[in-house]
Amino acid sequence: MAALAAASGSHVFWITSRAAGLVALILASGSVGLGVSMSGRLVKGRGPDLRVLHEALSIAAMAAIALHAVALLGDSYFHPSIADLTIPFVRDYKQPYMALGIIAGWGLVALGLSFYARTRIGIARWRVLHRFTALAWILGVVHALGEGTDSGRAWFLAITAIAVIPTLALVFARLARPRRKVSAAGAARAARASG
Amino acid sequence: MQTSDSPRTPRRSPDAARILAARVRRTKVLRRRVAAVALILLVCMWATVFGLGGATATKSGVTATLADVRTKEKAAASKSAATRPAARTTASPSAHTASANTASAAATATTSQATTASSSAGDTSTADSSVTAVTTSQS
Repeated sequence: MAALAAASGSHVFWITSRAAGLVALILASGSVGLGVSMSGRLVKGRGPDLRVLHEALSIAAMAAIALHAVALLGDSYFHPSIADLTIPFVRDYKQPYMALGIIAGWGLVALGLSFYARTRIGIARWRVLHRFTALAWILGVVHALGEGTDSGRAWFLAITAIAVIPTLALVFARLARPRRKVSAAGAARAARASG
Repeated sequence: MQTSDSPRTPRRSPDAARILAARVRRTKVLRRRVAAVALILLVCMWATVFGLGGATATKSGVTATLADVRTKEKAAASKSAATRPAARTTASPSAHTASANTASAAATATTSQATTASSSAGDTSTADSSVTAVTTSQS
């Protein structure tokens, strides 16, 4: 690892950012796929374990997104400011994909963390809000394919396809299924069950 | 201040407490596993990007090199930074400069790095020579 870091020289931040972006894409795909499967009852099994796994994957994805952005701050070539990386359309670099990535990142973080405020938001309202996570994830995929330095490479496309296509299929399968009616009592029960 | 006797926090039976403790343990284990998988994934992706994404891709001729990619990135960045001159005033690291210089030499007779980037794009022989230079300069 140290040898790799030494060999990569001043590109270490750039490589780290690209790697973290890929990891974020994979983890977010896993988390969204699992969430969609749970909500659509496409998977049977231990509900609490799946919920914990969904939560852990989503936190790990958020950490990877943070690393993806923070690592770029150290890149002396791209040399972005904090505003460039956190506010859409501030830097006129590879637009609109960069802006899409920033929006997707904030969306995934905000919608993911809203889980911890769901009783304040209201369970039914939070459920509706949480569905937009899939939209933020799709924006992230578009960002990766449009802006990613490696986006034209076969290995990148293969990794992206393995991560994204199953989740995309699950999202479409969920959209195709009729919506379950959730009563207020049912929502409260679900909230209690999920801790 | 609520006591344990309050109706909101009912006293749990030993059986329920045991089940709850097992669930907490399982939760911790799952979280640790996900964290470990994420770290392993990060290391693997880092190695993949490092290996296939440019820095050591010297002989394949298929993958564009790090120097090529970075020069292209720089050309795109220079366009965007035209309105922000402060961003371009920072000194480039020596490896970057060496790779950009080699790329420009191979592309022949261009003084602007942005022009070099556009001319060397898609030229694998140029890319190969430039990445060799990068590897040499970095080692």
